[in-house]
Amino acid sequence: MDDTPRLRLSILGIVCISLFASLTARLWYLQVLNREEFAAEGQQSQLRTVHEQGPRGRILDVKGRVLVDNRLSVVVGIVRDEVDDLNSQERSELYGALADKFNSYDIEALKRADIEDQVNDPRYAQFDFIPLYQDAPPELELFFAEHREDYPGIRVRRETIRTYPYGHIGASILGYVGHIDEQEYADPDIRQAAADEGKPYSKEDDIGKGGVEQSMEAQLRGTPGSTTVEVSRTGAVVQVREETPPKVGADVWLTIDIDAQAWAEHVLKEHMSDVRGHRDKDGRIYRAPEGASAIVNPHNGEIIALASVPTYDPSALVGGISTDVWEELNDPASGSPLNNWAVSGQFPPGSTFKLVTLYAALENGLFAPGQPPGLEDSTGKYTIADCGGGPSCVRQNAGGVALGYSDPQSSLTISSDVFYYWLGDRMWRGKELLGETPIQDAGAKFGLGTKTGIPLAGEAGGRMPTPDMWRKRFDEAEKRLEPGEENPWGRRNWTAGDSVNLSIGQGEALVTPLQLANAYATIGNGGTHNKPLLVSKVTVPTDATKAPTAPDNPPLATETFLPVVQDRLPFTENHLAVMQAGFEGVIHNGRGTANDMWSDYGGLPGRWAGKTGTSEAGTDANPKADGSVFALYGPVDAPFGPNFAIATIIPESGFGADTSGPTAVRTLRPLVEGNLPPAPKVGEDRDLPPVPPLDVKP
Amino acid sequence: MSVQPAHRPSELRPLDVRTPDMTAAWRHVDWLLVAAIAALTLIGFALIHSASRLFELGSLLPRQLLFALMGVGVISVVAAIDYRKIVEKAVWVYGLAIVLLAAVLIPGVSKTVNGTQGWFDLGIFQFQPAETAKLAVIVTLAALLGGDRIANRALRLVVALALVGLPMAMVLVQPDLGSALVFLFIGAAMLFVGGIRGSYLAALALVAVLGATAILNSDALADYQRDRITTFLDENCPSGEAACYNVRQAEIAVSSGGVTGYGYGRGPQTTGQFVPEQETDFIFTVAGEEFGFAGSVAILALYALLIWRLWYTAVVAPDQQGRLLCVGVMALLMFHLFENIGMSIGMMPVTGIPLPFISYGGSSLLTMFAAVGLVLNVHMRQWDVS
Repeated sequence: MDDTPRLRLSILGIVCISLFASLTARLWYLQVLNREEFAAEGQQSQLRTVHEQGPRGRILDVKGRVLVDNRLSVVVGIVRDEVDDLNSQERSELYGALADKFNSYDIEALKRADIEDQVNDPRYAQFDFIPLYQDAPPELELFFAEHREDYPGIRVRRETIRTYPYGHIGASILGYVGHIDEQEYADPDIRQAAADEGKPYSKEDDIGKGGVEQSMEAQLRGTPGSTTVEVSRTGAVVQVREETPPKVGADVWLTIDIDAQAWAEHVLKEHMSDVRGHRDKDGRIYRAPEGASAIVNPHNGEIIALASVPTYDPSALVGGISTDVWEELNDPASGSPLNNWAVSGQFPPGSTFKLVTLYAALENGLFAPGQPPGLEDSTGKYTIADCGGGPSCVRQNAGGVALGYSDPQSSLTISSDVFYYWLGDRMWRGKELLGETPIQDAGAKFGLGTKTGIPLAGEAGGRMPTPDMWRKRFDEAEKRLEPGEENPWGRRNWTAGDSVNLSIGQGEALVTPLQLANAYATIGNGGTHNKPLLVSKVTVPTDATKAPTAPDNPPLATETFLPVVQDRLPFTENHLAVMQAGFEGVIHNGRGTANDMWSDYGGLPGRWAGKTGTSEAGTDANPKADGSVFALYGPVDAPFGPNFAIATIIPESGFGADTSGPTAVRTLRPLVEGNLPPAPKVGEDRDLPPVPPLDVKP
Repeated sequence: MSVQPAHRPSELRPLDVRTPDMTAAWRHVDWLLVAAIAALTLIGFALIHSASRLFELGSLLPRQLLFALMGVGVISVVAAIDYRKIVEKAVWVYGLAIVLLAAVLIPGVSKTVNGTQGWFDLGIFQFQPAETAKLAVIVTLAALLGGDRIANRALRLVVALALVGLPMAMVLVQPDLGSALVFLFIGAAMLFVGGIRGSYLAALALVAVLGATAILNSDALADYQRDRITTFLDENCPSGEAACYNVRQAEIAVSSGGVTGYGYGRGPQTTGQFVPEQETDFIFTVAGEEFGFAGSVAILALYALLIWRLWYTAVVAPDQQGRLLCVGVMALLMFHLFENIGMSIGMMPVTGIPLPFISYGGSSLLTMFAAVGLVLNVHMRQWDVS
């Protein structure tokens, strides 16, 4: 080896040594001499707080059967922050690819434009998970987990969503859950309530909408949790700093018996469809667009069932509602299925209102000694002496039949309109003594005209028209009249004719089926006006995944809602007995308006009492078939008084005894006999036993 | 003055069959060299895991383990075949490397990463033909400069320049500036030790400086590459946010490690993934941040040990070809480690040059194992002059 390579190798070695030396020097400079300066510039770790909703509590029936449960759902969503890194073309390709992927799983609902709208929804913050599709097939979860690189920003999560073991049964009582909307989010009452409970809402939270889900929101809603994590630049979690786990909400127990509820809906629906399409003897068609039955326990006001037809499938409302579905559910032409007609439907009570009129007359002394004990009806007509330009001055019984002599008791049994015209007329003429509103005041005692206050969103109060109301609305309209225009209300003053109308539940009186059932429960139990009770208790379960009735799952805490007595009606003398006897006669007396129906449909065991009602709803221009109303309570010979009170109202379906009567009887029969068929669950191949067809009368 | 032993044992006939053959290659494995690369590879595992453990697809460590296993196979094969036989086949080695370099430029065949069209996707890893071309150039230059096929020294220089220039031009087309510089450095070192005249050397150096200036001012480089270099040259880096960001984050990571570092897995820049390409090109920043000055210098010391063993093998090489092989590999490694660590600490422009044995990546790791295999080969056969 000659000297040149050796020398040059040595030079090379020296070069290497100096390179190492320079690296070391630079490291010394950076790490030892200037550490502070550079370290201060280092990025502070980013903290991110993720908000997580607590699972909602369950809704249970009176026996602890789960009516609304939770289940895990695969949700495909997107993180906006990651999509923002893409250019517009990449983004549109991503959305296109995503829509194609969904479509390949037969999910047509998700279109590219929908994805874009959702991603641009201002409710979601930069790092939020924006849900795109709920309840995606599990294959998609696997697919997106394996193809993360191809679908930047797409995430799959498991979320708790509502599930309805009994499907449509009781849907309108239960309500549904949806994303909180801007109005709800801004609502000061909702905000305050949430703050009081320590469960503030975030903009992407769910909230109960309608039914018990809405009214018991404070109890049902879980306590949200939050996790604060330290994240890297790419969003990977480095460390969990603080974690507050979400807590499950409380279980809400209803007084509803799901078997009774299912059966009530079943009978109602069958009979409504039986009657539909037929015509009455005036040729008016029976449309029966909607209908409702309310069953209460007269002992304590507990609501056993609130059937409302048509129904809807609440699972269709899980995870957002499309506009089409929403419109269909609120379409009056299809009976507005989202409405709970048993509490939100307001119907003219017809003759069932005679309960109120007679109570007012009796308690106001219209039959006191020295007054006529009854009325002889030889013409079937009643002439109002001073009708003051109101509705026509001569009124007649249904069909113009002369019913002969009636006293208070028999007037109920045979439902003599003339008798009640007479009472209404007399009470109006006695207004100096009795005030302008003796009938309305009596109605209020039975809970008519005001909301019962049960925890159900959207409850209606019904209406008790008063002379005051007449005057007010006339004056209001008058103020807004253009010159030359006529006041739409026609006249300002209440007349005797209006009292006459009200006395038989016509005119403008409106009641809800629940109010009516509760009014008859009040007469049935001897005058105790109970507040209807829907929620009996709220419990915090030990283990929310176990059955609430499981022996190893005792509640950690219980809030009980006891029955509330609203009022005790001061029946004097023998008035209660007179009225009860009159109602019993409706069923069991040969002249009773429901006597034929009772025997035709087999009746119920024991003695019962009730009242038929037929409401006139149409006008000459717009003829409608009569509304069928029926109220029933019993058995009156039970040791402690009646156990059931039911009211059934089906508009545009004929006489009270024709449609609603048989519906009420058949609804109650298995309850009374103690052989309720169990409500079928979703996925069970079992239907309720068929109901024999209704004998539709022309 | 001589490093040659007084007697070459192989010149002596064995007197007794029982006398062991002390010249046998397997007796002269440079275990110090093996230990150095083993230690560096193990450190690489730790650093790769730290940088990649929070990746969405999980740590890259298992894949690197697999590459290292393949590397052990590669180094064994390369060391086993007598380097002289390899050098004999230099034409084929070179030809194959050029074909691969050409193939990678065909659109559709290859894969583009970070704007450079320089990879074949082999499924298990992405193969970069520029890496094997570096080895091919080393072998070919060793054959040319250490042999006597071309006697004319001037002609030999021209051919040598052409042999280096061709692959250099081809990787510049990709464009891969870093690899081109590696060829330059290898060529310079081998020509230097290969006995080129001092005057030629000075002229070449001048040409190189002029050439680099010309390239920077022409359109030959993509913007991002120019940015990286100008970022390095301009402290306040007004040009190119991205390039500036890379360098700044890397410097912050290394510097904030201080003397002893944050501890393994605790560096905020690393766990926060603020340093781009940290598992590959900027792997040194993990060591800097988590093990501080002490750890960084320890790694430098291991590299120094490695380079020293390469240098020593060059010194004891039995012939000029073997010596040149060692010099080439030494230049390759020295350039890689200096450029890579240098860019991580703001001394050198940012190029896509991986840190030998430590950076994540199959192509780089296998090439480095093969390169060191050549040197082991020479060391093993230092007494074998047959």
